[in-house]
Amino acid sequence: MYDIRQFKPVIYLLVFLGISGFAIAAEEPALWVFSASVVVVNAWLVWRDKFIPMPRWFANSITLLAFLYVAMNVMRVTGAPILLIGQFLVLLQIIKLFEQRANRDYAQLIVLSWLLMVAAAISTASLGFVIIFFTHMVLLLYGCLLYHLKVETDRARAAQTLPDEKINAATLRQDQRYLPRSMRRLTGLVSVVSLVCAIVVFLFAPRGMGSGMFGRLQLRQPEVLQGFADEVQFNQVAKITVNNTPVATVRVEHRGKLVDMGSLRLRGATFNHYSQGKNHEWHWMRHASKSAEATIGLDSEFTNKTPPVVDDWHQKFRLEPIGSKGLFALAGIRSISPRREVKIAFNYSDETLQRTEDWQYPIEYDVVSNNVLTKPEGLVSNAGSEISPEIIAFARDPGVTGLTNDQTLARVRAGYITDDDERIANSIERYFKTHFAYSLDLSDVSAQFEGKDPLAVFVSRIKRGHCEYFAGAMTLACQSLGLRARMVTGFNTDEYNSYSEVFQVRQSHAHAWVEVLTTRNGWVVFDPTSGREAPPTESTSTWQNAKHVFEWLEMKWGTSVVAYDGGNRENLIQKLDMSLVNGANRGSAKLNKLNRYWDRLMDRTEFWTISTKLIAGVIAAMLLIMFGIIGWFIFERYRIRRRAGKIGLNALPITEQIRLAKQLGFYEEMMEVLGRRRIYRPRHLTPREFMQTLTYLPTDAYDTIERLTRIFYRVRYGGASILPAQQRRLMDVVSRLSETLPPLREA
Amino acid sequence: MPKETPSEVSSLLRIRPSNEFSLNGWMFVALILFMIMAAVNSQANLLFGVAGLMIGVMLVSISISRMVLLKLRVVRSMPDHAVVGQRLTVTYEIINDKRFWPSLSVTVSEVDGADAFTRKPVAYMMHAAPKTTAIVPTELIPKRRGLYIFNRYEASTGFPFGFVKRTLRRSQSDSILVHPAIAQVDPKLLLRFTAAEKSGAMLRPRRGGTDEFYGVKEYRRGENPRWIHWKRSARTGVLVTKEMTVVAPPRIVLFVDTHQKEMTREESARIERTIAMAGSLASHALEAGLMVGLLAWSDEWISLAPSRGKRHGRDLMAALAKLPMNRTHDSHRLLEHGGELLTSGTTAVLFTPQEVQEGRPEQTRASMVILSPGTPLGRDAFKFDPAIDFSEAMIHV
Repeated sequence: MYDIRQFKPVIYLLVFLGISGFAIAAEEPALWVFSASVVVVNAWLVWRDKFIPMPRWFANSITLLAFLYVAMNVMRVTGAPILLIGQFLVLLQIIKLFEQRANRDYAQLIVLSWLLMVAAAISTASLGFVIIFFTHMVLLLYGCLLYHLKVETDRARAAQTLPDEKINAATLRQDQRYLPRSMRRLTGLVSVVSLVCAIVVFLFAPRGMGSGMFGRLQLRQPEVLQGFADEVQFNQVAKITVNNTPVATVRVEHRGKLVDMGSLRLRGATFNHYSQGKNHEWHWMRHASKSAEATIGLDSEFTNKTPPVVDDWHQKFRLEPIGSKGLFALAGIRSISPRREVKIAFNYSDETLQRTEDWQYPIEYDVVSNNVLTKPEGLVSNAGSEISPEIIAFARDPGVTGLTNDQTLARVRAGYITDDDERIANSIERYFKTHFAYSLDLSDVSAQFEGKDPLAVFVSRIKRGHCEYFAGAMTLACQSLGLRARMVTGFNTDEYNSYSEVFQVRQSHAHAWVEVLTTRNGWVVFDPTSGREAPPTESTSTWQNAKHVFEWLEMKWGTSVVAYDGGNRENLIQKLDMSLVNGANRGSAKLNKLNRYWDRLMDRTEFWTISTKLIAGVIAAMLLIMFGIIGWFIFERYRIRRRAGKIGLNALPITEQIRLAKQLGFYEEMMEVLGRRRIYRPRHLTPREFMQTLTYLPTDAYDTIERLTRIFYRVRYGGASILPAQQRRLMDVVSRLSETLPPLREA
Repeated sequence: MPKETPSEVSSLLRIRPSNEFSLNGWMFVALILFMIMAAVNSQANLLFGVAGLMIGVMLVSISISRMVLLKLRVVRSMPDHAVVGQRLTVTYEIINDKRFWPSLSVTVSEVDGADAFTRKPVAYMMHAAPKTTAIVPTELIPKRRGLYIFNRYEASTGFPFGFVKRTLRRSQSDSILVHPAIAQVDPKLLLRFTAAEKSGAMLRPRRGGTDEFYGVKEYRRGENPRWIHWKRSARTGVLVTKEMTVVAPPRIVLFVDTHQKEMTREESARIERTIAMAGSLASHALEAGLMVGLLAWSDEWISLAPSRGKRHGRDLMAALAKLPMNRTHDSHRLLEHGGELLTSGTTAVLFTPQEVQEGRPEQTRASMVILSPGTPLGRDAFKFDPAIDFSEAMIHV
């Protein structure tokens, strides 16, 4: 019986894809490197026939130990259970690979690989994973088909003990030749039907019901971005790695026109109170005075009537879970409308948005802003931060503020905002930019932070840090002088994706800056961070373009598939319903129209006259069709007879001539192709002799002609018949022949 | 029995394929439910898709298994006879008449006639591409003699995933005659018949051969002129032809006693062994050029005069293959009835399950050899394949 050679490579590919998919979802590159190497080594051993299966008892012992370890960890809830289970599945696969003996081991490998992908699918919906997932799925179906065939074949082989010489050679050859094609066809069918079914279930399965009934199983909670927690701590901040993971996309229209250049400063949270906590850690907090909270649904929007309509910046956000509750928008928010039911709190004092509950799925929302902060109506007081003497001394340095000592004292005693505040803030900002350095790595000086106010250390000793140090230090310096200042965290992005027509927001775009209240302009933004003034780089490299395309696809995937929810489902069903009703209405209207027309016709004329006309029309149409068919039949006959004559079938009976001429169309076509190169077959030569005279042609062309001639003989004299599909393929071969023939040289 | 053509066969029965969920199928359904619960619990869209995908796989599995058996014809080819304990090959031509879709993993098993063999006749076809024929042989070992009719067969498949097993039952009538087991016969036993004939007084030349000169006779029209004895004709003036002799080969007649005294398994096994011994001796004697005849009771007397040739051998083995047990005619009646077969020069060989002493039937005019499975001669002269179980080999009624 034919040995299914495709099976093992498919199994290895499945295992490899499963492990890769899980590693992507779990963000475990080390796991991927380790397990992929093991798979490759195993495949190599099997390929070189050096593989010796692991003893069952040994494999079972390892499995048992690993199971106990995972069970203990799951009980202790030291990590996300699915992550541990996934790691366990990877280990099981590796054990199975080194234990493979019988078909049941392959079955276990297939099932484990599928479970691994499902475990990964629970927690990630990134496009990269989805591509692997679908590749895996198609391959899995192919593997399952092969597996079933292999099992049945092996079983039959074992049961029958039929010696190899008794196996029919023609059937074996047939299997070798056609089995891969058959399997491809069936895999295609299975994949298409399954995908259609998956799409239907995806689109129409009810959403929302039963959510969380067995608890959350996600691999890992979304990681909190630096600076986006509800409070900002400095103690653990020694080194920050630049991370380009996409966080959000935002499409911006200014007065109805798409914004495709410049940079966007998206505000998230504000902090105005700096103090030391119970554990002696220093952190920023927000002391908010007034907030409004609302649950906003699909068709409702939250409107802030405080700011006057100055400008119209329409933003469409899609925000990934970032571990905090903050939502982002340009300054001066006037309205917000999310695309699913969410609870949002709007803070009037600092004009920021927050979700009031945790969220683990991407959220989409639209915001309309002025892009200008609103002037506060009343007095804004400082939140009473604990300011270290080093910072106070720094702020009173005339070199920093540009004020004399008397002016500084006067400003401190003033207690309200003054006209000079904007100038003072400008001066402090300039000082930071020129005398401090930007650095993400403070690991070399981390010892100096021990037990001290990190901002004081930043200002007085090390004088380098990242944006939060700059913004925090300037806020405190301003507050120590009596200015109304607050630190703001958010994103500052200038990366525009021209394919998706959105600004891409990445983790590396996270930023902190300062807002100071002034008498003339209200809240004014100051960005003291050094080294961030470089002009935006506009890279148009191929890699950048490819990245943009992929991100566009990811955004489309995210908006259309991942964010698909009950609302979308309702919309879809409504649309379908509407289109059905409209279709029915249109049909009914057309029928009514026809009815009316008929009634009018009947009113005006005699029934029999109409009937006669109708019958005459039908008969005329039928006659026309009949003549057309007869004409076509005669033409076809003529064409086939002419072809039979050209091929040299004249001597045969008519029926045989027609049968062969239909089959041998490819030969006539080949002769025409040769004729266009002025190569003709003399009448005294048989097709084979004629073919043998063409040795001067290029090898490819000669081989093709030789092959076609051989087929010609098989059909003409061997009684073989060619199926329509084979005829089409032969026609393709002939058309390719014309490309391989040398061009005609004009005399 | 005449074979039906494939078209006749396929039109005999057009039963819709049965649909049976396997354990794997139920497990997969459970897995689908689990996936739906996971999707509902996590509300992850991808899991909804995965659940839909699995439902699709189940649906397509049901339809593909049906499609695999659609437009599939099976034509069985088998030899007209077989021998107990000897392998025979049955070939199934599985013709896939579909234009586009292949048929994979189809098992053809016989419903009727299966009890003649050590295992159920089953053939497995891995693949038949569209518009092609797969030829699948299968080897069988008959365990019982007799005439067996193969009629209904089942074509079944669990393809593509083994969730659903589809079975299609059709029929094509074929028959096979299973001859009794053939043992290795001790050459000394055969020598006993041939040596006695050649050396004894019974060896007489007879007319009709081409071996030696026997005499002359008057020429008759139509005779071969080559045999005209010209010298004698010239001398006598009458055309005469030569007559040549043939040395008559030894002749044996097998008296097969199938009388069953007790309805026990042991008795049946003994009778089966007796018949197999008769078949073995007949087969070897015919191969050695002896003329073999047969007398046995099979609801009526079966009597075959001693003769030679393949055709005679087939008739003889066929008669032995179909012999039933009888409870009415014992060896005495057998020998009484067989008197006319025992012409001069014929050796009678009595095969009987009973342990009787040689030389008992005095009433026979010729010499007689008695062979019984219980006697030392019967045991030593016939070496059967130890795998043959005579208690199982009783004829199918």
